[in-house]
Amino acid sequence: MKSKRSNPPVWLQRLIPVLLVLLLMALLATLVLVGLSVVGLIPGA
Amino acid sequence: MHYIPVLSTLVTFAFASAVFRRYLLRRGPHLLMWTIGLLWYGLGTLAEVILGLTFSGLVLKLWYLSGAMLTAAWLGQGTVHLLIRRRGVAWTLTGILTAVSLLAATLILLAPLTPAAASYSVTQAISSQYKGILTRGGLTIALTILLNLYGTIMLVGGAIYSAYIFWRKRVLFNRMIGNVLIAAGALAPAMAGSFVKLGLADVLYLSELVGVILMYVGFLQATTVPATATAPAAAD
Repeated sequence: MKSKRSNPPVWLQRLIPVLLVLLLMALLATLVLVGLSVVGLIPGA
Repeated sequence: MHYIPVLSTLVTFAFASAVFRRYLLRRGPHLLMWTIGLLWYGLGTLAEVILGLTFSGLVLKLWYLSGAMLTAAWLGQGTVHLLIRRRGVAWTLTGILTAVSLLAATLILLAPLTPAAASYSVTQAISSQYKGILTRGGLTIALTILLNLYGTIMLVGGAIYSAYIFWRKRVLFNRMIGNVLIAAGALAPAMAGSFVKLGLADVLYLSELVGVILMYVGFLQATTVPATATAPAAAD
């Protein structure tokens, strides 16, 4: 595979890791909510 | 009549058609799994359209089976085929998912409806009414949770992981952005499902539309060959 190096704007290069962290936190929050519903702390699925 | 599920259905089937056309060209099994996942997604939103017009027990069951149980899992299975290259692992997991899906379909088809079905209102979202109408046993609820956990972790986690790899290597910018959009789009209905659990049922329809649009744009972004690219990469 030959791949081309990207050359995005600097602000976007800085924004991407922030977005990834936010998405990861949202994923974890969703999983926590599911977990809470499993143990009955919030209404079930 | 809710109009948002109509839009979601049109976008989702257009998306499924685009992914399947790519499968016919590239033959990657991940594209076939994503097509199956998107068909479940579209059947779920189509069921919402029908349930916004009239009540049908069979359509309600189809809505629950497709939207609540199978969509996330089959979309996530596409990512499993994309990211797990070890021979046999992805297909073994596909076999298990197929068996679990058949079990889920059997459980839902056999699940009895309660007398509350008679008081079903087409003006309210199905997500706010189904619990009182569809009888779900412990195994059905357990499978719903497991399938959604599996699918969400694989699809969203896989997209975040892919985007991170592209970012770290500073390559294939379009795929990095595409994966960020796919992760955000997949999270939208997953988070809305959690909001439904908390009693905010109306959020679901909007999140499904936003989710499928984000994923479609992400897919288009990730599969568009940049003018300066020299060759396609593996993760398509």
